[in-house]
Amino acid sequence: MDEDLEFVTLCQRGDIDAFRPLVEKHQRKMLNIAYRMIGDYETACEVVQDAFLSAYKAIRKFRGEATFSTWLCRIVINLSKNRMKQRKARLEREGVSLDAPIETEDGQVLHDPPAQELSVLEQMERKEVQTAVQGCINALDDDYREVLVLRDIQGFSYDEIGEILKIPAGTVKSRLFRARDALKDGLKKVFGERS
Amino acid sequence: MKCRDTEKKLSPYLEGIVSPGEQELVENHLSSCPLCRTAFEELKRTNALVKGLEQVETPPWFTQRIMSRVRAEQESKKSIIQRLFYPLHIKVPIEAFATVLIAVAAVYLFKASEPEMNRLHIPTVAEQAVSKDEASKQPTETKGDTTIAGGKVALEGVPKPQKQKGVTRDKDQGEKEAKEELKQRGAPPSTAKTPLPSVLARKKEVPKEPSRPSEPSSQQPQAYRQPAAPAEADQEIDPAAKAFGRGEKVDRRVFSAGPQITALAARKPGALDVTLYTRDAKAARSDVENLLGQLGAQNIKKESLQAAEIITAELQAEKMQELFEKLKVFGEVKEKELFPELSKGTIGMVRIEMTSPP
Repeated sequence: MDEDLEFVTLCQRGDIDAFRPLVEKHQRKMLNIAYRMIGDYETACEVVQDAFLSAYKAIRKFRGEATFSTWLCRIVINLSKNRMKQRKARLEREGVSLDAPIETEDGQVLHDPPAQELSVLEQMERKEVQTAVQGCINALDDDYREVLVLRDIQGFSYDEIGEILKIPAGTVKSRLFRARDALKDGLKKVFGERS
Repeated sequence: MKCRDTEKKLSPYLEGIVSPGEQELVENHLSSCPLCRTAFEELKRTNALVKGLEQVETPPWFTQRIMSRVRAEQESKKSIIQRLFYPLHIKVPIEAFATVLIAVAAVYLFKASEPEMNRLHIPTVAEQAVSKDEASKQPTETKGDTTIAGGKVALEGVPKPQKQKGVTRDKDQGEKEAKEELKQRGAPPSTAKTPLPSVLARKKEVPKEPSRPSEPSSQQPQAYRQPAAPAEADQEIDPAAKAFGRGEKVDRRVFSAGPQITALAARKPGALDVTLYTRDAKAARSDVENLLGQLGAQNIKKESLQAAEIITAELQAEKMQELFEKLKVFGEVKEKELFPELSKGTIGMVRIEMTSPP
């Protein structure tokens, strides 16, 4: 039983405030999916806002065939992929390498929020690693990246991923294994060059 | 198990989703193959790195921003509905629509009540001017009260449906002819409208005697006709019209008093037109009036001229002879026109002019 269904039903009846619990519950997960799909925090925030807005606009079409989380996740993945395509096209026009570090509009390299318990050096090393991993994830094809994010980062089951992406669970598995190998090769290159 | 097969199983093996038999095969191969063991270690490290990616947190304003956008979306939807149905937004269109509706209703009511309006028509200044003009041309025949009398006759002279036989003047034609007539008499065209033609035109829509539908245009009163074609007029008008139209004196006088009299007389199927010579025309007028009342005449109208008193009335055909005989009691009677061929039951027009003996 989808525990979000009650709020979804209220939203469908026009209760706008019933949408807030849904936002509060799912926003973090959706932001992380978008962030790992896109690799840019600000853009991910925009995409998730758009995704919630799209979900609210289309909430009357939600029939409960999948869970609200799955449905919302599909919206986030699709919007993220669209945003990636737009960014890719823009970068290609501007002649910027896709392998370059992710920079914000201010020219600063984007960092994840710092972990408080680590020393500054450890934090710097950790940040570099995380940025490198994110860079390798960004380099993956969309099909590989989405299954890797959903499975290895977000922990969705194969069935859930199949439902979100509307592909068979077997296809999810095969894509995931290839994605892992591709990422392993990418990281091997990055860390091999560094060492 | 070969290296290639083992590499394919490393990921499921890492996840622990291989069968016990496959697990044993993979483990045996890894223990004996350093390359595959290295690959497995790299895969484990990669998996650890990915799983070790930190979760990002939402900005503090995130929920609020999303809800604001959702509310804005809702408002925009509402505003579309409000634009259509909210009173303040629809107020101006409603007012505009109501104004148009009222205007249309007013025009419709005006059109519907036009005949009644025409019945209440009061002679315009121009018409009075025309009358005065006529009076000045014939000072011995017309007086100032003629106009008023004419107007009164016009009010009262709307024919009853049963007596409208042959009155099918076209409205436009009637108005046009009236304009031309007035133009000839020096009145401005804009004031030349007379209510009678339109009244007649409307009345003819419900004729009592449809057996004579094609005659009306030939039944026009001579007073309305242009003097340029008098012969044609004489051929077309009916005997009653002739009765009042033949004598130039009478015709002009009647017209100057108001064209409605002539029109009324012209429509009658038959008529008695006599001149009663008497020393006291006014006294004779009241006597004749009483006589007409005794004989059951209707629609009795009186007209005072300078040198004569005129009475017109509608009388049954069988009473015509009796009236003619009794008139002789009051003085010398000179008949201008008499129509004994009137059939019984029909109503004829009577016109009696009382004047001093020549």
